[in-house]
Amino acid sequence: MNKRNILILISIFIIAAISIAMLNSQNRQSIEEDRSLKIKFSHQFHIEQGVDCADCHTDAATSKLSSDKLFGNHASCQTCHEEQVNNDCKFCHVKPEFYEAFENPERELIFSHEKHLTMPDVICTSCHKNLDKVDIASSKNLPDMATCNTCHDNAKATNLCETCHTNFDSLLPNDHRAGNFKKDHKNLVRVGMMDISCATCHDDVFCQQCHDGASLAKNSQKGLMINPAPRLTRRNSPKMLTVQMAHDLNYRFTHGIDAKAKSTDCYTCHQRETFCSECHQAGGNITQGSFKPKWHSEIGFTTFGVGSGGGKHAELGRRDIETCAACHDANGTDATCVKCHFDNDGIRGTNPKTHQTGYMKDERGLWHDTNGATCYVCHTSPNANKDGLKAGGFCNYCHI
Amino acid sequence: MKKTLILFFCFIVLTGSLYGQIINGRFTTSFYTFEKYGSPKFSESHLLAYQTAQLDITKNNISVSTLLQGSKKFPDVGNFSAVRMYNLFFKWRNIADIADLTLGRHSVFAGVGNGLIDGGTVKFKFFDKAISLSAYAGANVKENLETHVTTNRKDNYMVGGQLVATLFSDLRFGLSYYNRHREKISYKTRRADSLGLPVYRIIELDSPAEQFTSADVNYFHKSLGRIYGRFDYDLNFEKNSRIQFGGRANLTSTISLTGDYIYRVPRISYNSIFHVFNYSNTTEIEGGLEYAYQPTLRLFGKFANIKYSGDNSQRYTIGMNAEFGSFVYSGNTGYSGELNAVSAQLFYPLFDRVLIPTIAFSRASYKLYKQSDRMESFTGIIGATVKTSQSFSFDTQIQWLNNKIYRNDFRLLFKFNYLFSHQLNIL
Repeated sequence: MNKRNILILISIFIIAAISIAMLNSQNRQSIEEDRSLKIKFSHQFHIEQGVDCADCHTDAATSKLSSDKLFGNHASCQTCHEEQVNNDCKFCHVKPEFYEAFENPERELIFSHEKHLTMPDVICTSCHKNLDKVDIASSKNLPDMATCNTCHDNAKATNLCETCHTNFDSLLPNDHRAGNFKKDHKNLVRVGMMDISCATCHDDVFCQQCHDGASLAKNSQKGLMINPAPRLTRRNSPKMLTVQMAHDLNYRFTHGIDAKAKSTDCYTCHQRETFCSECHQAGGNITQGSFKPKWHSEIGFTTFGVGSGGGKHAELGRRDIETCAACHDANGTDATCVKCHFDNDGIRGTNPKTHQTGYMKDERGLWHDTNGATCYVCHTSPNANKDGLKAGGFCNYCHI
Repeated sequence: MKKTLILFFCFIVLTGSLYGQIINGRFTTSFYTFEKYGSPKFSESHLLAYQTAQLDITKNNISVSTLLQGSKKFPDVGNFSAVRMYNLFFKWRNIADIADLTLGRHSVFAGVGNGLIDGGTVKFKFFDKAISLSAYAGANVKENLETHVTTNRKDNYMVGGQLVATLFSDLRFGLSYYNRHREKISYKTRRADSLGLPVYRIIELDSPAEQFTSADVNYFHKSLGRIYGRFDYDLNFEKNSRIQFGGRANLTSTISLTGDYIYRVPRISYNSIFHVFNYSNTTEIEGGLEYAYQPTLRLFGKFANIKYSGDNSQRYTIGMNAEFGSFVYSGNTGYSGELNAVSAQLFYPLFDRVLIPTIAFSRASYKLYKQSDRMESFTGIIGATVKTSQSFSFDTQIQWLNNKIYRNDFRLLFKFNYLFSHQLNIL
């Protein structure tokens, strides 16, 4: 079997497995049972009569798991309704000839009634709100996250997700599953949604887990092959390692396509002055012989002389200069460009054309104020600096 | 400075501990083995070890947070071992019910400005948080996240701010400003003098700078969709830097259209050699269609055209996201290079989520540019997460790479997590 067929088989397997897993998850998300079809009961009435929650839910005070079945039962009902329970099934059961116990819903939470009920100021209705207004209790009477967060605010009680939740994937909002959420989420953050909705689940440093190129393993050791870069610092996420990787392992080889296709804003996470050049500059972690594009060596890639147009490299530079800078702007140190684009005599028209006509003609520019202007990297005549002779050399470009 | 930092750390941890009521922590120990080639024919195995420690101490509105990571390489050659300080900050929320204050090493995400600073951020919230105004200032953090605080703050800083206003429900407007300077290293190099003879010169450049202002607007409607617009203006070059608008339109409850238009000027720092050359802008138009077959299963397809000076690129993606996995095919043609890639991952919880096995692969066939050879790359991953209790979990993964460089490279990743949370009740 050739490699192509193996890949097709793997793909089919994964798609089939995802489909099966998805169907299973659909089955798990069963429709909530309508308990009023099984039993006649009113929480509102019982509460109005002064019945305490613990009179019926007798096991709640000692329950340690959210999966514990805490419904009232014959024994608890009998404390008040002994005669009816013993003699008249219809008193409670809608269909006494065919009765069955309530389904115990699947709970994906770590929760101890015992622990919470021993806390001061916590009573049943602190969490189970509006029970005094309904007959049959439903999931609507379960506490929502906002209720939990009144105490679990990381000041009174921890708000780490793992404290309560066992299934993180079920918590994922639907908009996070949208095809381009990874690309789109920045739009939400940029206009301050972080405070409003993101902070419900994500803490102050969550963003830093991806938006920080330095969290990738780095190595200054020079060598033929760069180190792998697994993400190891993800903090509050219990997800799988593959999910944690911002880029897959192949990305090291194909990232140039994304960079040129503007698929990602690389500089949101990676520092432009250093990140690319760490590998790509001469003496970086990859060999220039292996990684230097072949077209750099082709005839016509660079043409010399005034009026030559510069050749292919000038055309590519105009097209996407960020790609040039990725390799050739090694933190600004001796950029490759200045090996040709220098001007030692300061006379207009005698050096390789670098600027477009009228370049910064009406702008004061940095060169008037400081000798640290980048202009003086190429313009090297004695007068080409802030303290040089006025209207001489470099200054003649504008001040003729 | 190191002494100052240690004193600062001791102070905030001590004060945090004394008055803290909640302490949350996470320790993660990781190992990663891989094969590294020193030459095309000679390789040796390496082991990277990481220890991460995260700590949050909180009492009412005051908290102290830190995340540190130590790393070591075996055999211990080169300059790999390091301690990274991701953050270490003191935060006081709701001061006088209107302000939050953050001091120390922390991340900033405020409109056009983002990054990690050693400094402070203050955020004011007015009119029931309908309007917020934040300002930040601090020294840049070195990219290796070393514990040293930058000393040359004059040439190495980031300042900015953001105003966000909720004009009415779900319509938010942001205005931000960002100014960053980063120190350049002086260097000695050879240049030609006026006679064309080589001379050595020391090049000392002022720090390159970025200074932008930006406006954003985002409108979200629960059923209709979302619109987003952004405009960046480069204050140093005095010209538009980026214009973007797009959004999502929910045609039905299950079908959505997405679109994006981006005009961008290459983002080159002021005083960088590259800004002196002639360069052009790029324009990108992307459209997409999404279908939510079920809430947890979404299919999507996108197509984009990127226009450069004298050339074009196309980008396309189709895929699916499900509750327990994803499958994506993506491709590129044109100036940016040629790519055909598939990637898939699947995980499924077993035994009440005690064991979560993972399988993933990605394959790419690509040409980085027109004249280059076509290359193939394959990565396979198999692993599992084991969560033995609320506090302990293990992750392990075997990775296999096969491409022009890594012919047959197996790697092993192992991670151990310990999480704790305690109510101190000291006060």
